[in-house]
Amino acid sequence: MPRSNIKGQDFTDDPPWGTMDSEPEQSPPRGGTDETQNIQQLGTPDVPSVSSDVHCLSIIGQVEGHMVLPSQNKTTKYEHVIPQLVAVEQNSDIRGLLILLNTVGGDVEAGLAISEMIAGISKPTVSVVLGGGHSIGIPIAVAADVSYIAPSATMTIHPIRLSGQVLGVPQTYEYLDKMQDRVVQFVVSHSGIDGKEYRRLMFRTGQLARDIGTILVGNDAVQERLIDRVGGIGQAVDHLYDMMNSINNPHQPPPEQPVGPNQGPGPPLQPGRGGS
Amino acid sequence: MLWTIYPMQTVMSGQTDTPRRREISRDGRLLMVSEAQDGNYRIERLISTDPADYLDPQWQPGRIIPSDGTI
Repeated sequence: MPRSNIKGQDFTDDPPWGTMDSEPEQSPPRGGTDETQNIQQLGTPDVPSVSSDVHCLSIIGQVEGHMVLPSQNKTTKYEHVIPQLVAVEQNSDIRGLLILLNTVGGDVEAGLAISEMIAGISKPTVSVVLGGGHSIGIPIAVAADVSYIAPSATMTIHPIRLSGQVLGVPQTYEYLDKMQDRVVQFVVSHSGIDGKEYRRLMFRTGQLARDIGTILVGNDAVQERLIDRVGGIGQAVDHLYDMMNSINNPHQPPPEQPVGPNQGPGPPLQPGRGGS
Repeated sequence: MLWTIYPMQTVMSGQTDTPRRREISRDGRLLMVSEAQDGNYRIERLISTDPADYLDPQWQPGRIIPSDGTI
């Protein structure tokens, strides 16, 4: 780290919040003061302390399920996410859930389980697809009451297959087809996309170099009615707070209301529910 | 069954040497840590749904914490 002071000011002593030229060896054991560590790790000496009634679930890297993936994969683990979702549902201080996705896909059953958990949460949920929400990331994205996609984010719809091999055994094909059906039915029932259209996108040729399928970029996903809106974190959080404020007042207990399976109290933004 | 846009050999290859990581719990929060020098832990990742936890310097990645559970 350069010794020069970046602001060009003369300090006779280090200011209480630390300086950019603090060096690690000057810091006390165990990584130094909070200020020094903040500068080293976050590039800023001070971070605000806030409490939030909105919790945030990040689905990043590979969705890891029954099989432990090699350690170079960044993964979101089923056994972490499911209890977190239970805690979000049960903790009365948490009034809404934001789901951020940047995933390349992963385990189908773990992804479906996470999707069903999100869909079953009785509090308002909003998802945002940021970099990518591919493969099994699609049902997770559409599981929320309202889904957003960043303009530059992409979603790859392609069939469940193992590395493009030709399947000669009918039972194996049936198994994959059933697995596929579970995903398609979930996506169709939680988004506006039509089942036939979804399958058409899934089996389209000429889009992907090594597979069949379709890449939907930002607005494409909204045009196909897979995702509700194009937007970023600001719009998503605003929408979440709108939904939270419309169902209860934070100073009063929420009204008793029956909650059906896969149906949150948010606005009914799932026109394709049940269609296939 | 994996359904991912990554080629299976990319997902399954384990050729890169990544540091060994373990999960520990501190103050009700789940942390993924690697072993730092002198037996302490270095926080690699915080696993929490509370956004405020990510602003708390105590849990920020890179911080060295004692392995004896004193925090």
